[in-house]
Amino acid sequence: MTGAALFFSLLRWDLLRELRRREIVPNMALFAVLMLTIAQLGAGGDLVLFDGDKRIEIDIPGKVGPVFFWMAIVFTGTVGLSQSFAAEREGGRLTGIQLAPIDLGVFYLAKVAATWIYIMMMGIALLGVYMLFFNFMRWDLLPSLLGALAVFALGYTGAGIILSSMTTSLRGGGEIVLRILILPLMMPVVLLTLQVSEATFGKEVFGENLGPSLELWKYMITVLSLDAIYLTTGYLVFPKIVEE
Amino acid sequence: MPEHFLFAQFSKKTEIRKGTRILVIEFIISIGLGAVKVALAMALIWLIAISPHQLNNLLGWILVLVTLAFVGFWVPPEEKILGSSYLIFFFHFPSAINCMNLFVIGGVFSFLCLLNKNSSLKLSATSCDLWAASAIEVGMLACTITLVTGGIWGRAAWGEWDTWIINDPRLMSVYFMWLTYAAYLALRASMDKGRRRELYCAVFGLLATLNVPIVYYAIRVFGKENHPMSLTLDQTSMKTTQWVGAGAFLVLYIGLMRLRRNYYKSCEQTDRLQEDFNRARI
Amino acid sequence: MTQRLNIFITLTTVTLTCTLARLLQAQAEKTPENFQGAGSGSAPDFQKYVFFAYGLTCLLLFLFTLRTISQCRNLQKRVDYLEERFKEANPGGESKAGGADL
Repeated sequence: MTGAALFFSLLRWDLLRELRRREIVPNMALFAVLMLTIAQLGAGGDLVLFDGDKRIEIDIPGKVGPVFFWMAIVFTGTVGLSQSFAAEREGGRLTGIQLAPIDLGVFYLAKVAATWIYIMMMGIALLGVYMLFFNFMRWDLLPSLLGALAVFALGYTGAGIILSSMTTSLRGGGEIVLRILILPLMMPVVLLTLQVSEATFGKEVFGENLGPSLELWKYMITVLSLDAIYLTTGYLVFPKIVEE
Repeated sequence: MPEHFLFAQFSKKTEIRKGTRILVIEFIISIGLGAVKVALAMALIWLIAISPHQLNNLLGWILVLVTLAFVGFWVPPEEKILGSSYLIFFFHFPSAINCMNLFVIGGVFSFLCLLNKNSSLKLSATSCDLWAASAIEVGMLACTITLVTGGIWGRAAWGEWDTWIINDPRLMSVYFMWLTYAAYLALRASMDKGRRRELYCAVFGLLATLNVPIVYYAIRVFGKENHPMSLTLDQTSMKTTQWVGAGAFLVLYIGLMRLRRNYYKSCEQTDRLQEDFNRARI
Repeated sequence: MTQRLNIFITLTTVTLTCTLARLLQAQAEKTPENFQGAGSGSAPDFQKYVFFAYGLTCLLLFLFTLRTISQCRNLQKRVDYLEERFKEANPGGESKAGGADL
């Protein structure tokens, strides 16, 4: 079987399984919505200050909303990552893949693609809820926001699948260890994603503290190159991980 | 006219001769400097690889004391913008440079561990794993020192403990690296000794080290432009102390790394001995 | 071996403390004449921060070394225990159990 044919058949297998079981995407979406609900309770309304007779309205949802959105994506994504090897895991080992006579690098890429699709679906659902809770009605920014989400999710799943394949065989399913491992690796990408908020959400987050507002094309190029690094490393390293 | 021409030719010849002499002298100086650099590099390699690790540690501590002495007695007590708080720099800078060095060393050993699957080679996977773990542990120590001294410096300069996390892009990148390698140590602690732990730690070590230039450059290129704590090191005493400090701490950290690695190796040998005893039912 | 290491560490700490004390003294003596001032006279006293930073650096390095020493001690206890086991099993033979060479 050629690489591309193997990739698409593995992807199709994963998506069909998820379609039948419906355990990853609905759980992720629900968890993310719950996170946003708590965020909205605290930061959903404008802050009104009175300076003598002058009434000053500070747009808290606009400034703080993107932070909660990306936080929800990052934390909920770990749920999807830890569930990604559920079918292959038997007795704490990835015996399902070890015995299969396939190119493990292509298997890794198919897993990344499947998890990327789940995170995109969850992200789009979350975006709808975000628009409602945080009064975000900028339809013109939707393409750039979805583009940023796509590129972010690609790097996230690229690194996340390597780590989840390692932690799936640890004590307790490696749940907490997976989160401790993936979040520091994703820190620079999250920083860049918050810096590009002006292009994706229309409002600059934190003012000038993180740095000048980043343009979308610079962000895309930087994060795509990081994604390439993670995907290449994963393609080369995944077979070694699974063979143990 | 011909006299002018001859004179011009003559003066051109002396100029060429002078120029060549200067070139030759510069060439000799550069060879001399190169030789000094090569000698220093060889001394460092001897110190790291061949000398006993006790000597390495002792020399490291002595050099750190020398740096302290320089800071106490040689370097001017005040700097133009930052006052006397700039002295913290001479402990902050060596730790920052060396934490990066040690993390890169750890990454290289992680990569070698992934390459060498069999232990027939001299630098076996287990050995590389132990070296990587020691390098990353000592790197974490250096990183902690960097963050602590950076925070104290921030407090001295701006009167707040936590401004460095947002205002100082360089220290923020060091903080991200600290988090990543803390995760490495957490992974190592959560697994039992064995081939799997070596492999998984090597994979994460490699990913973490690939992240180091990403973190470093992303924050510098896209972050705030001006570093709030800009120093002007215009005097020779300051520059010399800076680099002597960097060298001193490098020697000390490498000594500590070798100490840790020897400890891990002894642990490994003791474990193997215990297994043999258990098997022989002694 | 660990005893030698202990002595070496103690000596180094003593030297370090003495030098630090001398440094403190030197800094205190230097201040009145050499003080050029970094602008206004309301600059806070940075010296305590500088000493705090030095002290913490040396403390962290020392604690790290102490941790290694205590781990080596525990390892030595394990090796001693293995040696005893071997001696009990082989009362007449020579001890082959190697100590932790540190």
